[in-house]
Amino acid sequence: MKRIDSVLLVDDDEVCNFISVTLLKHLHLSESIHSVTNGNEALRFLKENAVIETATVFPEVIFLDLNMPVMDGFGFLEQLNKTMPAYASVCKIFILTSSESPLDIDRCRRYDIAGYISKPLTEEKLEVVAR
Amino acid sequence: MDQVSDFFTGLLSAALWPARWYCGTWTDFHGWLYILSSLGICASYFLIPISLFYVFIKRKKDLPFPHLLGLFSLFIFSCGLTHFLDAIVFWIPLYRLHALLLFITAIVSGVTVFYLYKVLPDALTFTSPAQLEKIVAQRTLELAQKNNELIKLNKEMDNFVYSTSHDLKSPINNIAGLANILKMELPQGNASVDDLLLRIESSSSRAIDAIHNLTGILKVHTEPYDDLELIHIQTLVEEIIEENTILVKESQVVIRYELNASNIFFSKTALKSILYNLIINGIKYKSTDRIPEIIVRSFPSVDKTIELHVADNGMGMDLDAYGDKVFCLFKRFHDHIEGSGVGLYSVKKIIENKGGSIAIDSKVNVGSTFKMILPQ
Repeated sequence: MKRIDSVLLVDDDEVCNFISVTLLKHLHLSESIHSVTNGNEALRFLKENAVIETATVFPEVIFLDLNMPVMDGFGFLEQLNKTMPAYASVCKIFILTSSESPLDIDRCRRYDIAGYISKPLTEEKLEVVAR
Repeated sequence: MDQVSDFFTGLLSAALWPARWYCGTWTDFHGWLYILSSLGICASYFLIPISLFYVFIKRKKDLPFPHLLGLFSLFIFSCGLTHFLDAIVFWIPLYRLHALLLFITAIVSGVTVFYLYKVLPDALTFTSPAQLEKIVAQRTLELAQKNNELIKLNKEMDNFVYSTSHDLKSPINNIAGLANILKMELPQGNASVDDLLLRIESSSSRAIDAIHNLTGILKVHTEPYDDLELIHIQTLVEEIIEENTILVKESQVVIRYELNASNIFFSKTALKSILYNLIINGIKYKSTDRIPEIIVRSFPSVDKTIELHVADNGMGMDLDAYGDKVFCLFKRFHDHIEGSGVGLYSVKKIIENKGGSIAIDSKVNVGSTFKMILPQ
C-alpha cells in the first residue's frame, strides 16, 4: 500500500477514531494523523494547520463521518465546497459512516468525494484508499 | 247462517237496493261533491302504496320496519277500495261488496295497529337522518383525531427505530473494528484465540445485519419512493454491480441484457432496491456447478406498464412446496446461505405499493425468473 502523507479523521465517535488511528499506524500508512470530532472543528483545523491550496500541508486523505453534532458531514462538505471548490485536487475525502441510507449516499454524490466506506475501517478497505 | 251464505252467494248482487242517486234526495252538487271527493281520496290512497313500494324496492336493505310499511300500504290500499265502492254505489249499489271491503279494511287496520304497537318502542329510539348525520360527523372527527395521533405515533416510532438502530450500529461497528485490531496486535498462530476472534467478528456482523434488516423493513413502509424519473435500466444495473464489486467479482457472475424497452419512468430508489435484491439473490443463491448468469429482460410497454424480468440460473426453489411463502417476511429456503428473509418481502411490498405486481417461475437446480409488471 502507498503511504499517505497526512490523514484527518472527522468523527464524534472517539472509539471509531481510535480504531482508525491504530489501524493506520499499525499498517505504517501514515505518520501524521489527526482527529477532530465534528465538521466545524475540521474546518478550523484546516484553516489553522493547512495553508489552503498548498497540497503539502493539506491532509492528503480525510475520513468524514456523516452524523455528527454541531456540524455534520454534509455541512462540512458544503462549507469546504464554498471556500475551496477545488479541494478534490489536493485531498481525497472518504465518507466513513455507519449509515447505509440511500438518501445519504445520494446526497454525497453532489460533492466530489473519493469513496463511501462503511464502518469500521479495515485493512481491505484501506487498500482502496491507499491506491 | 242463511244470511251469511246468502250474503256471499249474492255478493255482487245489485238488485236489492236502489242506486244511491235514487235513495233519498241528492242534489247534483251534493252527489257529485260526494262522488268526486271519494274518487279523489281513492286515487291518493292507491298512489300512496305505489310510492311506498317504489321506496321499498329502491332502499330494501336499509329501510326501517319493512313489515310495518307493507301493512300500512295494504291498509291504505283497502281504504282506497272502500272509497271507490262508495262512489260506485251511486250507480251500481254493490252494498254487500262494500261491506265486505269495509270488513277487510277493518281487519287490516287492526293488524296494523297491533304491529305498530309492537314496534313503537323501537320506533321511539330510531334516529332521524339529521341525528345520524350529526353522529357520523362526530365519529368522523374522532376518527380523524385518532388517525392523526396514530400518524404522529408512527412517525415517532420510525424515528425511534432509526435513531436506535444508528445508536446500536456504532458500538457494534466499533466492536468489529476493535476485534480486527486485536487480531493484528496479537501474535499469530494461536488457534483458540483466532477462533474466538472469528466468533466475535461473525457475531458483530450478524448484529449489524439484523439492524440493517430492521431499518430495511421500515424503509419499505415509510419511504415515499417519489423520486420519479426516466431510468435507463442497463445503467442502473451497472450502478448496482459497481456498488457491489467484491461480491460480483468473487462470483464471476455474467450479467446479460435483453432490453426491448431501455428506459422506464419509475422511482429510482424503488427500482434500484428491487433490482439490487433480485440480482444479489441471483448471485448469493447460485448453483455450485455452473458460472452464475443473470439476465435482465424488458418488454415493450403495454398500457403504460412495463414488464421486467430478472432471470438467474441458480439453485431455484421448489414452488410446489414453498410457492405461497416466497415473498413472506423472514421466510428462508436455503439454510446454508446467509440471508434474512427480508429481500423478496421488500421487493414485493415496494412493487405493490407502486401498483405493480410480481410473480416467480422457478425450478430446482435450473433457476428462478422474477416477472414484474411495473406501472409507469
